[in-house]
Amino acid sequence: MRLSLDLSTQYGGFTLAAAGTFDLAGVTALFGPSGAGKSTILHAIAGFRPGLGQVEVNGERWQDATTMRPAHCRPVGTVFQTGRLFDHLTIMGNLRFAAKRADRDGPQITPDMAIEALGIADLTQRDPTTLSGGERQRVAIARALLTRPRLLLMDEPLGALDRRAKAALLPLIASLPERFQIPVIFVSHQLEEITQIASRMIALRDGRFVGDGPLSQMIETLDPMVSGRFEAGALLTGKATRHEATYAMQAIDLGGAEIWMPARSPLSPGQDVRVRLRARDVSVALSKVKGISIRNQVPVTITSIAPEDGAFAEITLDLAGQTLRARSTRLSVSELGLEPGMQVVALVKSVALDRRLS
Amino acid sequence: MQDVWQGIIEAAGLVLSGDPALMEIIALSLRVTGTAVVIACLIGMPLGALLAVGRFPGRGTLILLTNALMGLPPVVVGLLVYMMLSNAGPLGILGLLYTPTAMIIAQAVLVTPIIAALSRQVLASMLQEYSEMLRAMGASRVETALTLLRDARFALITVALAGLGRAIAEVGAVLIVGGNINHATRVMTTAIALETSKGNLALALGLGMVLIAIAVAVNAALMAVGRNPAHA
Repeated sequence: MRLSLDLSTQYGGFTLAAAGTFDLAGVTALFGPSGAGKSTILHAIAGFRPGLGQVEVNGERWQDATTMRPAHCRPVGTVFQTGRLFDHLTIMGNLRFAAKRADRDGPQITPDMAIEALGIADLTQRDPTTLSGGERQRVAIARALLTRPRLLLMDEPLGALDRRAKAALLPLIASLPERFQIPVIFVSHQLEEITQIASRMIALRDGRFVGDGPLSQMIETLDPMVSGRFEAGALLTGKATRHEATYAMQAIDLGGAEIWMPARSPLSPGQDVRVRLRARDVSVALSKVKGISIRNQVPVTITSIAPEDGAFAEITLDLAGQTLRARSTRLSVSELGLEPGMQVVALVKSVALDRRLS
Repeated sequence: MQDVWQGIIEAAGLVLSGDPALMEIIALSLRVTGTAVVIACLIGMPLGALLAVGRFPGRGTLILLTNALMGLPPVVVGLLVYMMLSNAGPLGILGLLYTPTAMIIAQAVLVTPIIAALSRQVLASMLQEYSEMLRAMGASRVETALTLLRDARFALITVALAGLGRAIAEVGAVLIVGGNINHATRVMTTAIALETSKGNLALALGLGMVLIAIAVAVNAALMAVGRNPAHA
């Protein structure tokens, strides 16, 4: 699916001037700090913002200066930050409310399919008021699917949930595109959420698109200034191997090198795992270090060293074909005599590892 | 001081013994006000929904008007309804003046703007939350209004109880159009006014106690509906 946007508006001190064309497949994260305009853009795609500019999907003009296709005539399903379920209907009633209004020509998604996908079979006869936040969001997602959309829009759907509910919902959301053959746009300012489920990322800052592409590439190259909270890093892909239950540690094979990360429950051996490593959490040593608490010591090759203004330098490392970034100081680079092509050891604390299941 | 205490004791006796005259007045009060509030809800709530959901010319003026009419003085309502129902008035032929029906009409006129304005507020804030979702689902304005009315049912009970409290306590309108006729149109508030002027403090106080008890009960019901988190 090809999405083409040319949106502009101004209110308060905020200026939106976002134009770009994006190929949507899998989960595409619309990422940026709070106030960057993410929700505004999502609402424009959904059809809630007339007069905001141009929205075109697969060559079909959904809105521009003179035309406006109403929200219910667009083949999109929207999930809001809070569930917005009707309290006077049971869960099944809420689902039927959407199913009755489904797009006949859309993907043939039945209530049974949506209920199964979201794991809400036990909830169908309950009242929305008796549900937890996570359960309400599951129902809201099922309801959005039942309108039979060709594109699913999610506006910070996990924003109001606690960690456990988030952890339970993320894999479910990640599975939706393949399961129902529809792309998802997932708005979030939480990089932890995005690294776990997105395959692509569109980055937004101050009302402008500042980059888009595959997630791993975006994580590596995204300007740290896109967001105060974002930090440059790298996404590594590996396979789960053994689990050390006594210490709640999981080993990951990164193609020759093994690293350890915290994990209460074991991952199934052979399972693909993605970990995000922030550049500041990676150090470089000339050889393996003994008598140190850092567990992960991985042999790597320096591919480049980029000194920055001021004290810092960013070192790019090659780990069996995968890229790793280390943030260091120019002083360290000089003292250790680091140069591209050198064989060194990357040091990573286990506690610095973010996990992504796929 | 002696009189006051004696009055209170006598009043309590009247209430507790279920004095027939007292019971008749209470029953009529409840019937008149209850009917008036039901009618006011039937008109006011759909009107509130229309004002919350609809987009039509004159909507702003209507909202302003219902809000302003919330503070309508009961005696003015009584006067207007009296003019409509009196022999010289356009509806005089119906012969309703000085009947409980006239009192019901007056109280319904008094309470309808309150119900309409409060319902509109409740539904408008609810619409703010749901409008995008309802638009995405392609719900029509009528469907939207009906859905919101159903979803807001507990908040609307609160609105109805607010109307009930207002109607049962007013005296001006029912006095003018009902006439405070014994065994016909005498309700609690008009009876209190009359008995007080006659110096019959015991009956007036007894009615006052019942009126306060009803007010307390209505407010307790309001709190119960408002506090239940499932219905908030």
